[in-house]
Amino acid sequence: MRLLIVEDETDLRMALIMALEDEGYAVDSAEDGEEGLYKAQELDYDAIVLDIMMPKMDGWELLNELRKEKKTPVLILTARGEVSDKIKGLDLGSDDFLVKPFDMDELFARLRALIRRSAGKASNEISLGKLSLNTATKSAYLEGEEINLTALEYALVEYLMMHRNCVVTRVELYQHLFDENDDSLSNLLDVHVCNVRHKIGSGFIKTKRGQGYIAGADF
Amino acid sequence: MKILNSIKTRLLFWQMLLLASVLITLLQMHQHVRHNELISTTDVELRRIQNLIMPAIASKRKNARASFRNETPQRRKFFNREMDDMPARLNQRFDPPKRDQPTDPRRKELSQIPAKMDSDPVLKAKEVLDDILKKSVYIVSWSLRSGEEDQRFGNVPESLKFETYYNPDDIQQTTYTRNGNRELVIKHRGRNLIVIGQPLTQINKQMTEIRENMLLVGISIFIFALLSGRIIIDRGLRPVRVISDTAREIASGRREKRIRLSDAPQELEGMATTLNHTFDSLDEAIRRQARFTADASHELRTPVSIIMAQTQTVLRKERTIEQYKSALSACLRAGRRMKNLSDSLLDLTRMDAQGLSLDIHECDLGPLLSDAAEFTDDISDKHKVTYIASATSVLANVDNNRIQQVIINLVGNAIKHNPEGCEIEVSLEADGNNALIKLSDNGIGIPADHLPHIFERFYRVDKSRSRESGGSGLGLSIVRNIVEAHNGTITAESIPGTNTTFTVYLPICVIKNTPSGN
Repeated sequence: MRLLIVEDETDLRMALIMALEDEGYAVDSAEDGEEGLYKAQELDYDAIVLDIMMPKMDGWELLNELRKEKKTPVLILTARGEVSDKIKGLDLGSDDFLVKPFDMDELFARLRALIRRSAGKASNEISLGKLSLNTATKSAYLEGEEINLTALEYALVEYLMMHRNCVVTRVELYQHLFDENDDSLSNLLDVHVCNVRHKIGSGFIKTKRGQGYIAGADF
Repeated sequence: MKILNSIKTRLLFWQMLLLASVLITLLQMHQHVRHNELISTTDVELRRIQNLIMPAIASKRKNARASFRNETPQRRKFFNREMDDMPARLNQRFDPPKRDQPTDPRRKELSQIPAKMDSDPVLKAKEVLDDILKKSVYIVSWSLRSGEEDQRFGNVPESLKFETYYNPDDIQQTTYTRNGNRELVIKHRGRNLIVIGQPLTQINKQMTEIRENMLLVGISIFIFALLSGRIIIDRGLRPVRVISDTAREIASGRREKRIRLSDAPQELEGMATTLNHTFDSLDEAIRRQARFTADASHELRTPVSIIMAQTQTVLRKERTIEQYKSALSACLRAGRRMKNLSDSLLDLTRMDAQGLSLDIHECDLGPLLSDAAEFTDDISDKHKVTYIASATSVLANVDNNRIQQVIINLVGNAIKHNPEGCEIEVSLEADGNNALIKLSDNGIGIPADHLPHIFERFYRVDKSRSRESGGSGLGLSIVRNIVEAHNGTITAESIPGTNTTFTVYLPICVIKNTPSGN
């Protein structure tokens, strides 16, 4: 899952990036509204964490511009906690609203819910055949037994499971699993796919030649 | 509300008291007057009857009244003449004319009687008698000598006795009230004792009727006055009620409410206007306070969220020393911001609460400003702060520390908001009775639409730039408070992208024409 954090307070931004990376997200960041809008328009993020009071372009304007072309889930994270601000934010097209100061765990839970909802899932449990995932604890179970996945392997499995009915291209996987600082060496993904097949079963990730991958139930 | 009701009750009570006393007096007066008037009317009536009847009773000839129709024309003529003469003769007998009172109403009335009778004297006489009978008048005549009754007319009461009326005194005529009858007693020519009476029951009945009517009218007047009084009091008190209702609503939290009076007395309208002004300023003060508190808490949120986010993130798992260090220094920066903010808040709150307490001394502004400029120049090597001294020394009664705070704040602002390499100039000169301190920079300037607001608390031209550099958003507000506490003024001008100039005027005490700046 790849997130974008648009926040002008450097210390807060760094903390958010660190914490969300620990959670297994690929995290991009922007320190003002203009940069944030540019990035948000360029890529399909799984969710955007957006501050309101920023230099160059404020969060309201960014949201307004973004909503003209993209449906990316947006969580507004701001010190402006008045009801009118919340209403304005939600009406402008944000999906959630969190007031500073906040608890990291709450932010994580809200982001999980946001991503889950945007994928059309109602609960934290996703299952496919013998494999089941808990998106809250970021753990995978095969026939009830927990299997040991790295953060990136887990992210790969979760992404494929969330989009199980369609072919996921390699570009899409790169976009959602790696952040802007990772080298996009194409065999890095192959390594992870190979590892996952080894741990879960070779039938889980099917290769659609020339198109990408799709999650399968026969493994 | 209670006060209003008690005022109303008191007003109503006094109104009722007043009304009742007026009514009672009126009733008493009326009753008294009516009674006397009725008695005297009765007396007049009795006398009239007497005048009409006397000749008939007194004269033996009148006994033949029943056979009057059989009289010869000659006798009839005589009778008529008798009747015509009656009034004049009676007057002479019972009521000798007084020369000085020629227009006595009673006599006037008597003189009209013949005129009434001249058409057909016989019929007229009968009419008169019938009329008398209708009024339940009774007439009794006794012989004075024997005490025997010789004539009786009308419904005479049983108890009527000659002895009751006889008196040996030489009283020719009296009137009095006996057994509810008003009676006129006449000694006629020493031969007859005649009593003409009329029961007062009729009058009493009338009196009762009148009294009842009076009572009814009185009660209705009372009720009407009471109701109208109530309405008038209500109307009079309505503006007061409106005022108190509005005040109560405002007290219960609806601060936007104002007193709206329609056609109230001028004094109350004036009072309402004054109260509305008071409510307005109170409302504004509360609003300002609320905004200030909201802004302050908002300013606190960001550093607090930094501390929380940093610590929570770092504590999630084992980190490297570098990561711990970075988190701790981020927390320290956030802590410093909170300290700055709370210091400024405290400063401002103190200024608001007790006014700015200044430690005023007469001092030369020149060295004061050059010190401040030097101090700020040392802070930043990336900006240049120069001080241009005044040609004369400028003495003013100021609080040194506060004035230095003004300069440091203003220069600090310029350093914070402008890119590196910006030049800041502080100058001092005497301008009439004022010291003119100018602080200009050649930096980014302030857009015209922000300029009027920059002295407001927590106002930020760039929503985040100043926050990142640790400003509290209160610096200029504090500066203005200090300058105004010195009876000075501060203004700002700016051309965006070119320069910004803050101008401070401070009243001075003495100008010495000696060069300064050494």
